[in-house]
Amino acid sequence: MAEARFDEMDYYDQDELVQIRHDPPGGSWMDVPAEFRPGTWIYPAKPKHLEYLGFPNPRKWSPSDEDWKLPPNWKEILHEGMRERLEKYRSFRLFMDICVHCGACADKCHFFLGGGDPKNMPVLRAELLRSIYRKDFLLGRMAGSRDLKEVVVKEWLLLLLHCTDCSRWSVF
Amino acid sequence: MKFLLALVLVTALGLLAAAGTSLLGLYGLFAFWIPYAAILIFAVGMVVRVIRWARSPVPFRIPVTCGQQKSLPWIRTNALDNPHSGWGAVGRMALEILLFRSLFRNTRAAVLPKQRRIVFGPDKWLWFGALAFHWSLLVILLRHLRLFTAPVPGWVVGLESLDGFFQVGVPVFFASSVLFLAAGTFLLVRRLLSPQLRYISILGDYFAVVLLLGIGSTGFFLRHVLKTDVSAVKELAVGLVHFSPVASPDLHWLFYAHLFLVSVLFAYFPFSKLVHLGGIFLSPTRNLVNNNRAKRHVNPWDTPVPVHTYQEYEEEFRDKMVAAGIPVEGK
Repeated sequence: MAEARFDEMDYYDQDELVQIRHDPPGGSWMDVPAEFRPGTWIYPAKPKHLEYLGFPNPRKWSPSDEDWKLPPNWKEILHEGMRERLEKYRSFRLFMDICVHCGACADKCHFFLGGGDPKNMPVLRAELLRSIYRKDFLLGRMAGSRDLKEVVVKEWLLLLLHCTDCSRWSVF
Repeated sequence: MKFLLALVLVTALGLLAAAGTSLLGLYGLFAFWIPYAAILIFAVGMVVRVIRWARSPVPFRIPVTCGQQKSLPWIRTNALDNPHSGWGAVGRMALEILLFRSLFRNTRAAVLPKQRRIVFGPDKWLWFGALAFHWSLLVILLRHLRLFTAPVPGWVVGLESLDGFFQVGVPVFFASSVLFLAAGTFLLVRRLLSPQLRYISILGDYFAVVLLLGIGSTGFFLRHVLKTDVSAVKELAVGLVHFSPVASPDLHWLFYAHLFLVSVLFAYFPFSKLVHLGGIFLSPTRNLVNNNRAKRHVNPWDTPVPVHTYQEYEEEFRDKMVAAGIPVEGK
């Protein structure tokens, strides 16, 4: 019998699913790089489609590649994008500022409940952005902030695109 | 680790004030210059924060809700959780701010080995602890008005007698003091014991709660163990309000530690997560009327979007469409 693919039910061991641990390990989440297991990320569009639509930086690549072929000014692009959105949406700026880390949202995300990746706790998924926000838009180097590096971008692509924007966490 | 660092920081700050007053004799600095500076930083900092939030627009109505929206007359709506009028939104905000209504819904999820599936159960402890913490802090703050006012307003006296209703001990133990310390300890212990919370907590989370507990416990100690000279404290406090403060060297160093920690709290406030005091009022997911279907909301920037019309589309693909037998409008 052929090996089951990750999009088939037999790929998953039912007993393993029950054993999902929701307690994160020790240490800091900032030291854990994003892990691109097959089936957990979205395939990038082909260059010809991006070119047709006039989207920037069309290239052949995959998230599992070491080199993502980011444009040379990618930091500036992301910084500007974040600044623009902070000025456009009060919700973004406000919720970057006022989260008290009470943890009530932690066990509400179905991706966290079903997958167990602690970075899928809504608070931590927001913290992926907030750690950059603290550094670049708030006070600079302080507790809970970090530099915008390529590992951060990889983490963002993997974790932020896990989100279905269901907002379940926000009603508690 | 972060908790220990926060504990060391707060203790060091308290000792700094103690040493500054009783060893170096810098009474004026710790009695009024630092408190004045702290209040100034707090006021300016909070105004700047609120203005920065207010300057970002709210382009769409984005209330998050568990209630049915108003639509057809025969569908029952939840006017409180999904408000369709201004007053509904006010009621929703009031319940949120005064009673933490949404947190009352809180659940806990766990995979139980016996059931072999995930199960959800109610979890009211966070709601209860947070509510007790915030309300007792408010009552304690209001009670302190008795030190800053002369004559003391009647409602402050009333609040105080209500707070000391059980009349235990001399001077009377206030329910709010006990509740504040207990609830604060609960929130701290909860943060320390839960692996999930430990993972998401940063230094600021520990610092804020340890600082508040430090202020609470020094205050408790001052009242019940040292039995501080309240008239001397009141003299200083009334002097602070009238901008003619006189620092008294007779006051215990623990009082100055208490006052300094309060100053640190005020100065730290606008730079920390504690700004949720102001932010909750501006939360777009809570304070908006949900009338997206009844009213059209145009975002303020309203960027013109380049449109690819059907005519242009057909122009581009006509040959292929004809070859595939798809009907076309032009030729």
